[in-house]
Amino acid sequence: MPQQEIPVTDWSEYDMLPVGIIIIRRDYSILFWNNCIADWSDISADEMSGTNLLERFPDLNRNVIRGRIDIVFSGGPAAIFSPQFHPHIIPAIHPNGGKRFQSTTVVPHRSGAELNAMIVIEDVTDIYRQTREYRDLKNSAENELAKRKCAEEDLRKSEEKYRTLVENANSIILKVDKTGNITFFNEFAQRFFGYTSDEIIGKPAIGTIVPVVESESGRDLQLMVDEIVRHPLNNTFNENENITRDGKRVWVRWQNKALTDENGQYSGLLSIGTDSTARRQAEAALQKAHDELEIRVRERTADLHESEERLKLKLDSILMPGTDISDLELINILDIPAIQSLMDDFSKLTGMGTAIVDLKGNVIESSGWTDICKKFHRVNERSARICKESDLFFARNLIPGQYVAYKCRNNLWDVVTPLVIGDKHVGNIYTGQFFYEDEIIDDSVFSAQAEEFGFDRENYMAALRTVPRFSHEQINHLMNYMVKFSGIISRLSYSNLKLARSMAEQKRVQEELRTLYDELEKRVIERTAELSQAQAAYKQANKKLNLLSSITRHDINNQLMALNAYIMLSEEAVENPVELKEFIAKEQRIADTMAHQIHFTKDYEEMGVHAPAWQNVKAVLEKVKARLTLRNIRVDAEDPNLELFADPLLEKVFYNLTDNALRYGGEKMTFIRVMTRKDNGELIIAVEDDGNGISTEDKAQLFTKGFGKHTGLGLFLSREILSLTGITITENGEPGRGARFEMVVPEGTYRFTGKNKVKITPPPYINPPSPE
Amino acid sequence: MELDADAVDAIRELINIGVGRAAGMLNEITQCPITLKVPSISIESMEKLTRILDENVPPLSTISLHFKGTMSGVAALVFPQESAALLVTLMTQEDKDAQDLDVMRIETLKEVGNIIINAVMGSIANVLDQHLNYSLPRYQEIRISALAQSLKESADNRVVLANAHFHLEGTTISGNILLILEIGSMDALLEGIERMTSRD
Repeated sequence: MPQQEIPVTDWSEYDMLPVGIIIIRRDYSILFWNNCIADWSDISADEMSGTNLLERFPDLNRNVIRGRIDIVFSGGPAAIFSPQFHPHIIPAIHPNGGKRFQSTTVVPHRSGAELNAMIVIEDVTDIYRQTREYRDLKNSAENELAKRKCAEEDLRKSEEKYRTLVENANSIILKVDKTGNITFFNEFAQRFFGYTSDEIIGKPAIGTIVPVVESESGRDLQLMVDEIVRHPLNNTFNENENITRDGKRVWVRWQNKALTDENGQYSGLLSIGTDSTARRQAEAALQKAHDELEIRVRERTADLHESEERLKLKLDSILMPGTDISDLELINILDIPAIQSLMDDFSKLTGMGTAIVDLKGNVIESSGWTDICKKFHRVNERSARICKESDLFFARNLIPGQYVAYKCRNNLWDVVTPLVIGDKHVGNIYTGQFFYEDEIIDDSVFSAQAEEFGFDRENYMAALRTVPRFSHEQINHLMNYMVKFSGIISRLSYSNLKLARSMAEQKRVQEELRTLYDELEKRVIERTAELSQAQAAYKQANKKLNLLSSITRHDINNQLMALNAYIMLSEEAVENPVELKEFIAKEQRIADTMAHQIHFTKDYEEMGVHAPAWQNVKAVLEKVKARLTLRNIRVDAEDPNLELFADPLLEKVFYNLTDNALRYGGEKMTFIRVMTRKDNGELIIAVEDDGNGISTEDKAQLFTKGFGKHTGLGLFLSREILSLTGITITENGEPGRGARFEMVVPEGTYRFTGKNKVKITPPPYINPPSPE
Repeated sequence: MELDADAVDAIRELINIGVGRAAGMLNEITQCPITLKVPSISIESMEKLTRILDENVPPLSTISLHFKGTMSGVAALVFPQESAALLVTLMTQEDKDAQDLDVMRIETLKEVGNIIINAVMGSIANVLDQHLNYSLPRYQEIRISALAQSLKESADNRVVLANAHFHLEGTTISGNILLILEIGSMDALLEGIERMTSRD
């Protein structure tokens, strides 16, 4: 681009300014490029003068810059380009690295009549950076401030919540300092203890809300408070007696927490208390009730134990059929509580004391006896001995259905009737310790008795005055009642006894019968099983016999027919010794066969009779081979180590299979072989040949008894023999390509011996598939 | 001269043309979609204007341009300070949390004001078909009453007030474009308008 003519103008003062100044014409040719911009851009004024600004800095040609500069050229206002939107109008490197940030103003600039534009560029790099730093700092400070405000707000809320919680809590909350003086006392505490906050703050807890000594235990609470304040961590919980302002003793359970000051130093104690007075009272009442209950339970347990023992004894003795009634304790025969209740009512009604005493003098029941008896005569050892004498007198002199009146040596009347159960005298019913109405009582006699036995005379005589008096008629009526009562008791008790014994006996007999029945049933089941086994054995034996008979008959008939034929041929060949010798040899072989068949019948007879045994398949096959005419056919077992657990007649199975193959395999047959393979734990034994095979129609009846071209028994028999040890047999050969009998031998009934223990061959092909 | 409805419509049209140009320029500079609308333009008395814009509020962020010639006065773009800061923040796509007007943001705001005022004054100057002398644009935080006092002569009681709505980043920011003329200058403007309409 050709350099334009530059007017000679002195703008040298602009070189002195610390801002970049560029003066351009309307066509954007540069008229002036001051030192500052030359310095920044590293482009000299000489180089820039006259050149086109837009060509040197094409970025300025954009509408957002050039369009606005054009307005300046057209007389419009100045254009301002901020560093935010136009940071590098004239790209220039700052000494500290990076581009200079520029703030640019374009103003009209008149040179004589020519209106040019002056571009004034201010370097704001430092300001820009400082502003950025200021913004970062400010943002950081504002964020910090915001966080602090949040934290302060949280703290304020927390404090407010805490204050509300503490003030409104339904618990005592207080603080004490290290010396035990109260420093905080919440509203609940004020209500509870009766002190206002002003009254209590600064005062020691001991002596105000904590008494010096605990009333119940005598514990020194001053020591306790000192210990808690000194070692709060060891005293997180404590419970002690407290005292309210009006002197009321209360119990409080405290939870204590050590407080620390701003330096983390222990400063005092926060204690939260719960009124436990009611709980402690309830606990004490409960403990008392518990103790009482414990005693009663112990007593009752002992009573029950005793009662249980007594009851057990009573039952045992009652129910023991061989026991004589007279051997039983009276207490064990009678329904004591029922009789006691009856006699109590009787005594209240008549005013007469009653008692039932056994023949050994033991009082079984007593009611309404007077103080003179209970408190004096029966208490004193000597006077009691006299009572005992009276008891024994009655024991010896009573007659059932009658009563005896007897004035004892203590000078009081007793009337007694015997208690007889069954035909045994077991005890006596007493009434007594009375005077007859018409009897004159000599106080001196009783006074002397008091003297003799050491009774308190006054009390004894007072007791004497309370002794009832009855007329003879009254006693007569009472005793008649007693005699009848005795009779009823006797009969009822005896009946009960008999009934109980009868029931016990019946139960025992029933149990014996049940045992006998169970034994019998068991024996019937065993016998039935035996019979069932025997029947099964019989059926099996019968079946075998029938089978044996058929086999024998068929086989021997068959051989006999052949023998007869050869005998006839022999007769005709008498003249031909060579032919005759041949026939005789055949006859001999038939005879041998018949002998073997007869021998076999013995074997069959033993089918299922002898226990199954392990048998080597190859060895069995060798025996079979020895008995048959093999022609030139190869007969072999693949595995010499295979053994089967089978009936000893296994040889018959292989004989039949081999014999059948030889008979019906045809001329083209070259081999008969025994192959094995495993299938899911079972062993498959295939006896296969390459003969004619078995037609499809014959396959269906192959194992049916009587079916076949020869005896019709061989395969049927084979299946029977194998089935004895769970072995199954099927035929799956291909007609025209050979027969193939597969025996499936269950796991556990086959094994491999010797080195070749696990040899299993892959499924064999009787005949390889033909190419077509 | 009377400021009749037709004259007001003509002034509204001039301002709209200028603002339209400015919006296009701002879109190009900021590389983000900005919608600039002038929903209302009115001629208000200075008394009412100061009541609307000055009372009970801090001084406004103002980018002003004084002009002198056939028509003299001051053209200004004014915002409440917070709105001005937010406008720059959104235009420069800075963090919204930092919104105070530092020196860099003032420079940016000055350029925005420069673009809008230049566009509006360009429209008006075309009508007048007369050359005007302009001062350099200036940023001040100033009350409108003080801005009016910056004129050499007394201000005409009729002030052109145009509401300007900037819509960007889902936010609408309101400001005002003011045209405060010295006494007599309004007549020059109206004559220019009349000449223009009579030409049509």
